[in-house]
Amino acid sequence: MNQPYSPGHQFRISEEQRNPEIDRPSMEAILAKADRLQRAAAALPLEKRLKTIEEMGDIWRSRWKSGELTEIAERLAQNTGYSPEVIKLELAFVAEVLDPSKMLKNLDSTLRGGAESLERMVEIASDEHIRNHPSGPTLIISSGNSLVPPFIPTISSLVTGNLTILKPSLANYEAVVAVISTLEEAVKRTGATEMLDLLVVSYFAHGSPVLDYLLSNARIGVVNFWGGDPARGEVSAKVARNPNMPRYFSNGPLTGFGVVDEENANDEAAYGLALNILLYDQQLCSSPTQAAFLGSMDSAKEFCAKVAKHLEEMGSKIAMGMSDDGAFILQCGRKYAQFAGAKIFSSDDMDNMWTISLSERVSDLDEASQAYGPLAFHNRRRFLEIIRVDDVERVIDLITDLPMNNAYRGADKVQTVGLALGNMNRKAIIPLLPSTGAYRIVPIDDMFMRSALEPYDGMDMAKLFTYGVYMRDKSMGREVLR
Amino acid sequence: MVILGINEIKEKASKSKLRGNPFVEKVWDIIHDPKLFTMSADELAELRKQLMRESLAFFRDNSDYYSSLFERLDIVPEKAEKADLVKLVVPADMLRGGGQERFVIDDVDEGGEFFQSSGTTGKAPVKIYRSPLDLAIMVKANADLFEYVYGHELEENKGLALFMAAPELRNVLSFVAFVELALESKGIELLYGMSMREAEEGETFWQRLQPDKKNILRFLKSKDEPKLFFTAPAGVYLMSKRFNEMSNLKREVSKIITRAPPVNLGKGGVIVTGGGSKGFVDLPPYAEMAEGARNYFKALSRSGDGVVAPFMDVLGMTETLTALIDHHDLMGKIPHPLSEVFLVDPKTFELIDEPGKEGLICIYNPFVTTWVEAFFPGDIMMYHPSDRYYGKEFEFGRRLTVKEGWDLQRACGGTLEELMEE
Repeated sequence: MNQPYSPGHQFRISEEQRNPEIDRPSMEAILAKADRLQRAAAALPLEKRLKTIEEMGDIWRSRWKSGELTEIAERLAQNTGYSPEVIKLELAFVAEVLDPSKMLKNLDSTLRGGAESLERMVEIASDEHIRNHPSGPTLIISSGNSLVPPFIPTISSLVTGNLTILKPSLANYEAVVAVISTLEEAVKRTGATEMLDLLVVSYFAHGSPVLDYLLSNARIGVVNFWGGDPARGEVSAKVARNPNMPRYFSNGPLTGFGVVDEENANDEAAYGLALNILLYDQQLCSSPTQAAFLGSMDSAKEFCAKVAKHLEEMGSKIAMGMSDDGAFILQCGRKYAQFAGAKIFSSDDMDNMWTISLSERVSDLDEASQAYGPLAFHNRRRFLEIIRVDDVERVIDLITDLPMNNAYRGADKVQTVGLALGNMNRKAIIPLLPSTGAYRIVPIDDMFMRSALEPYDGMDMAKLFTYGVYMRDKSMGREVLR
Repeated sequence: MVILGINEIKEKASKSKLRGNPFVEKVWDIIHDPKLFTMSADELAELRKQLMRESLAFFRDNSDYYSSLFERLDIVPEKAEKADLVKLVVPADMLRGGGQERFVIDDVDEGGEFFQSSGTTGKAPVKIYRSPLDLAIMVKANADLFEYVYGHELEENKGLALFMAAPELRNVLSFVAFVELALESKGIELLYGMSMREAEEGETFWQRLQPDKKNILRFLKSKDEPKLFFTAPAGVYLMSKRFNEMSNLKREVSKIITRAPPVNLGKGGVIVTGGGSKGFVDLPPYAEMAEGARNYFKALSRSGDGVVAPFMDVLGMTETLTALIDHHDLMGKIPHPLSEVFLVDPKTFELIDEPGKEGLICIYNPFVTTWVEAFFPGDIMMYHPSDRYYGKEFEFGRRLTVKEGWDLQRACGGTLEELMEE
């Protein structure tokens, strides 16, 4: 069973729920200590905090190498539906999130006053200072479709000194605890026991009264929700009722969009696109699900064939879980797209049923999805729609209009635009892309990869979890009034 | 709404804009070829292949949509094989609402009829246009197939038929239309066993159906031969159940008033069912239902010998011009000789050509001149080898479920079962 994990606190389990949850009195007791715990954590030197994160990464790596986590990885693969190969990759990525140098870089670039503003007042102008203080306690309702996303906000929240309540999903709960529990060993090595007191991990059911309390009543400073509707709408409504006015930021479902032109429709671009389709079977917000091809139809077909070759080769090594029902639905969906006007490239290998739907100027998948509900966005895996277009303006329209396309209903908008363009098209499209609402513009082969400096869906996590305290010694008003 | 009699259909068909087209003329001749049902399975397979190629070429040349579709699907009509048909079959769900419109050739003959599925799922029903030419082909092809399975030709102007449907359904359901038109062409009187009362607010078509006791009584009492009883399986089952549950006194009174039980179908009498078990969860298997019903339905052979009442079952749906029909005890479901019926693996859409192996049934009718009639109705079936003309006889396995992405209910006669409770 998924027991709550919070080594710094005593707690009892609620008897009302099927899955174990921390009960309300225990949660109230923990939150009552929040100010004291956050003050103590904020007093910890940043170096010590980052060293603790580094230790977590080392402990994780050694556990992974020793084979201690193999069974957890297998169960994670079963629960999430990803192939064991993807899960292996996922577990390797965990160490990236626990990289202290990247964390430091992120804090330095994100926070006014840089990373050291978490420890003390930092002068940002002559006699003007700023200190960034934890704005928590934070409640993070994390996504359940993989392992890394829960740690992105959680580690940021912990390092910035927040009492952090993390609610994983049932699918990734065991693996999340396996990673986060390395903190216990890490603080023994660094002596930063204050950080251990900041951590509370518990599952809460959808209708849990404790979750309801946390969202709508508790003295919470930040709520960070990862996921889509209808849960998102319910959570935001509850947070809006909370008299303590927590900050609320939701990381909704987003998707990726590739842009390729004839000049760059080479094997490298095809490989990059295929790689990003196969990683997590398009379940990342950065995964390309639609792409535009600038060039002739014949060139588009040639490019599709190149992508198909890589999907075939790489995909056969990363088996996807496909049920009999799912396969039939996919076959019907392909037909709907074909008869609506698309040219379909596909595989019938049950372990690697990839699909490329090629259309001319308009999305045939739009019509197909409207006619055939099971072809919906969230049901598609390894399924890319490529639309041949004449100019970058049409590309911009496709990216902007994606939320209105039936085939992508469920995605808020495009998060990541992956480019493989020649100079002329690149120059033409770059000034236009920011207005599409997309958050990231990266090379097509690198859509999944994040830099330490990147905001998450337009938001710097460290900023979300802190507030800036401004200080000045000299009066400015006297000068103005004089 | 256009409702055509058999003579009007024939007249309009003879004036079709498509007459004179070599492919259409060939179809017309073959459909009327008396040797069709005597050809070998191999001869027919070759004939269907040729017809398929010519049909696809016809549609390519008469429709921009098909020209573009074939290009996308890498289909060259002149070289088409059965594997290309797998590419062309569409889910029957795709034909809901105006789904067929894009498939209809550019210069289609007007003045035909529309048929539709029951619409009991609450979604837009499947709606199919049949040109006069296709209607003429439908009547001829189905009548020939019916007579083959029935065992002999229906004699003209002889006998009486009862269809447990309302006459208004003639304009909606292709199965009802085919039966009415085929019987009309033979001069056999058809009685409808149901009528449709005035609509109350919010009522569907189907909720307005009620038994037409007068017609049912007339059929039961009639001494005409043969008597042809068209119904859904549940109709026979519920009728038999009612006879079974009658007290001795009631039974005697019923015999005096209706001459039943048993229902005497007379020489050449037959029960024709259609629509499967839709709407009934407790309907016994077909064989069991037929056996039970034979206590209350009696028939004689054409020569007058006592025989067990013959049961024929029609697997028909709105989307297909011709049905598959079986003869209980004698043969499994058999398609028209020109109809290409095949099974595919629902996961991969690879052709299945192995007796006894279940697959998704697909139907392609190369003799339809309005659209490429290639679809799958959502039934899992299998076949066994046969000495008859088709070389195969099909057995029904199961219906695909909503979980499998299938919304469409069985059409035609299936809907009628819902009315059989009265």
